[in-house]
Amino acid sequence: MLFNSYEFIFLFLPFTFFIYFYLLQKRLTVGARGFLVFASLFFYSWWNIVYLPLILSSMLFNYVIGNSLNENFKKAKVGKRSLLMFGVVSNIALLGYFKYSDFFIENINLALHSSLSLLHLALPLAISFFTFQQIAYLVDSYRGETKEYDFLNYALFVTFFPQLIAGPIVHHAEMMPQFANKWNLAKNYKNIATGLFIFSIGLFKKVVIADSFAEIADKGFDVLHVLSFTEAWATSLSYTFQLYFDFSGYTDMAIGAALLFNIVLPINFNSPYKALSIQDFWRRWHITLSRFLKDYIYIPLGGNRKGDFRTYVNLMATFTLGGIWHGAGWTFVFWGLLHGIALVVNHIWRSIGFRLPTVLAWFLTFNFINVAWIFFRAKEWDDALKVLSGMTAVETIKIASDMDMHPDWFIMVFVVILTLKTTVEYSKKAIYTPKTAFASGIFFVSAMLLTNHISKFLYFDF
Amino acid sequence: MSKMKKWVSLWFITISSLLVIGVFNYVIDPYQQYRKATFYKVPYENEKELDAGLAKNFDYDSVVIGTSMMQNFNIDDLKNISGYKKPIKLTIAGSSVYEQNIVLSTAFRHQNVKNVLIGIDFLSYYGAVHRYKHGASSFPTYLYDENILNDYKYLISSDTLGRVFEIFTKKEKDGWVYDYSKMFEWRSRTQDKNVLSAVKRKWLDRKNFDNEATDEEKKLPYMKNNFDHNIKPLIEKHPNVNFTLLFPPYSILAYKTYEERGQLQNLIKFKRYIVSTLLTYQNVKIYDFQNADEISHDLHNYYDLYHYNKDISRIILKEIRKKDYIVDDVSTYAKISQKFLSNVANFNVTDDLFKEK
Repeated sequence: MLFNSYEFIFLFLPFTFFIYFYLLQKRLTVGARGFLVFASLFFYSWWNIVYLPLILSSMLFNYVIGNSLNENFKKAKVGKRSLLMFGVVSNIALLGYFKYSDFFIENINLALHSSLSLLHLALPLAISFFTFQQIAYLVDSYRGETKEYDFLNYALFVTFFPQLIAGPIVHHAEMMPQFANKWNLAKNYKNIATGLFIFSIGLFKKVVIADSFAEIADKGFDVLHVLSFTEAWATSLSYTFQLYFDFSGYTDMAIGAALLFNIVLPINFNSPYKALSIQDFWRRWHITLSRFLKDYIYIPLGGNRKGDFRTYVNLMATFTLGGIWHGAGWTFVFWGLLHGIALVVNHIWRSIGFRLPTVLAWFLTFNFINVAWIFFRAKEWDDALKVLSGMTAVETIKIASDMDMHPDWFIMVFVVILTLKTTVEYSKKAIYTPKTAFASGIFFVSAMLLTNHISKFLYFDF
Repeated sequence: MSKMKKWVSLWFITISSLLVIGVFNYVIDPYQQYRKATFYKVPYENEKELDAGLAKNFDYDSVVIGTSMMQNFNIDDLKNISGYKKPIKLTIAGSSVYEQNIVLSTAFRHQNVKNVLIGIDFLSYYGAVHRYKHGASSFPTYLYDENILNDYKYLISSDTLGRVFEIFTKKEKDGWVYDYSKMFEWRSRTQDKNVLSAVKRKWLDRKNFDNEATDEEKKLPYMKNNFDHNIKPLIEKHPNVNFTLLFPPYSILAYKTYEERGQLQNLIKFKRYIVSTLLTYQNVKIYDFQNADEISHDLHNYYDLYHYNKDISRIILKEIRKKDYIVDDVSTYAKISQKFLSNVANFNVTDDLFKEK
């Protein structure tokens, strides 16, 4: 059940909404919360019910460990530090087993010329997200920063369906008080209006913009064997746009859906392609992930408190981990490394006091991000090199292409990413007039009409 | 009513236009899903979507199935030469055999089919048995099933709406085919062009020939599997239907390309597998036109390395009636296959081939 599917929008979401508020109206607060957890688990199981026990046991395990860790209500007899280590390692082991086993075996085979068979484990949905959220919870419990939450609220924090599958990566400190807040227990039309507005824009971003660019990107990366200069640039830029509009659109839908239930999710994107440096980019792109990496990896490693050299090492380590978190493959590691290096360079520049004119800074930053995404997207190294070599083959600029490249799309999207504000920013303004109701309705309608678009492959070889 | 409540109501009123669009698409029904059109001419275009409606709601007793190699048989020729009473074409260019299976199964469910003419193209048989040519999102399976619940994908869709718009705005000169007897005949658009130079260009660019599957997916077990899953069961389930299978004549340049890649032996094995599997079936006849050197060695008959022109389509139908190229014996067929291999091996591609007559 993706957010842009009919079953989510026309069945799951309205049913969940009405039953939840009906129960609240009847003063069945606990029942309503229980129902919301149940609905979220149903949503999770819709993909594959096999992993339901996994998320349940992960939740229970972390809740118990977290409670035992917290000084304020400590009953545990073991050393705190070892208990924390045990908790964190268990979480990472679970994630590692499902996500990285085959990658590990492949590399062993490569290094030792052995032929161990792969496990071919299907990746449990959302495991990367709920693992991270709960590790943060454990660490904070160890630091005594958590309160004694009741299990139902904790379960809601982990499973709440809008943020379960693809983030934002929420922090217990921003969620728990909201779940406990009595003011959130009645329908709120301001939130509903805001939620519908944000959801509509997000849906449009994903289905209309991202999926259209995906057709170009897929063709360039996965189908064509050789790319001319223009094809290669169209391919890489298409993916750069596809990824942003897909992910930020999906996040918008999550934020919008959560608002229907009076829950405010954190912002995840802040016009990232306006960034004027790589550091700036990481303050704007997948903000909740950067926040996690900073608070739970970079700072514990020592952050920038141990001299320049250690700062650089820490940056590289954090971003390499960030790379592998995105996917089990060397191309992801390489992508993380590239960003790590870029951040180090950025640091050194700034410490020298080197400044670039704004336009040039944007141009350099954007192009670096665009090139780095190639490695993020490519299924094989060869595909990445194919795109890169096309982008540098200026002599092929005149070659006619049978690829439908829609130059007008690119111009429009550049205007959009450089001039417009974020969906959430717009939603906070006094925009709730009949005109915007109609306009965002149209955004929603056009996305729904395009959801079942049958991609056309216009070639005629058979 | 508060301002926000009003906003929400207005938003819902706006999105209810989806329903209006759905009803509108249902009334026009551009892909003939619910009824045969009465108040506009059906253009025979977008076969992937249209075939579903044709299979369900048109009146026919004989079906042509296959890829673009099968699209240039004229409906009148199928009546006059092949003796089919009510023929229809449910071909899809470039289709995988799984897609062909979906189409043909739908036809069997809805009409009393007596004859089926199937063209067997190698590239339909590559890869997994449930392979869609361009991935699942490229094929409208929901049009072919009997499930009403997923029809919203057809009714509430910009593709459908766009099609309606095209139906009512296209002019005859835009090149759409409205003539039932010429349905899906793309060679009527390309036939008159002098295309020998195009054939030559394709030959020089043959590294891009038949490149949509990996070498792994082209292996013999995949091809056999595809045949076993997607064609054989349909033949077995319908013993009263006459199946005519044919291997269409590609140009000699296609065989040379297969040979260069070391694929030709495999393809011959695949053909022999089909022949040895089906020869005992009472309701099947097999014709192999790939041995027709008089067709395949003359490049004037071709549009590229595979596609012959419409005259050849007509010749094929006549030859089927004459039974010249029928395959009726396994051991004879083995000899013919050997001869074919050596013919290809001994053939030299020279510049003379590309000279205009």
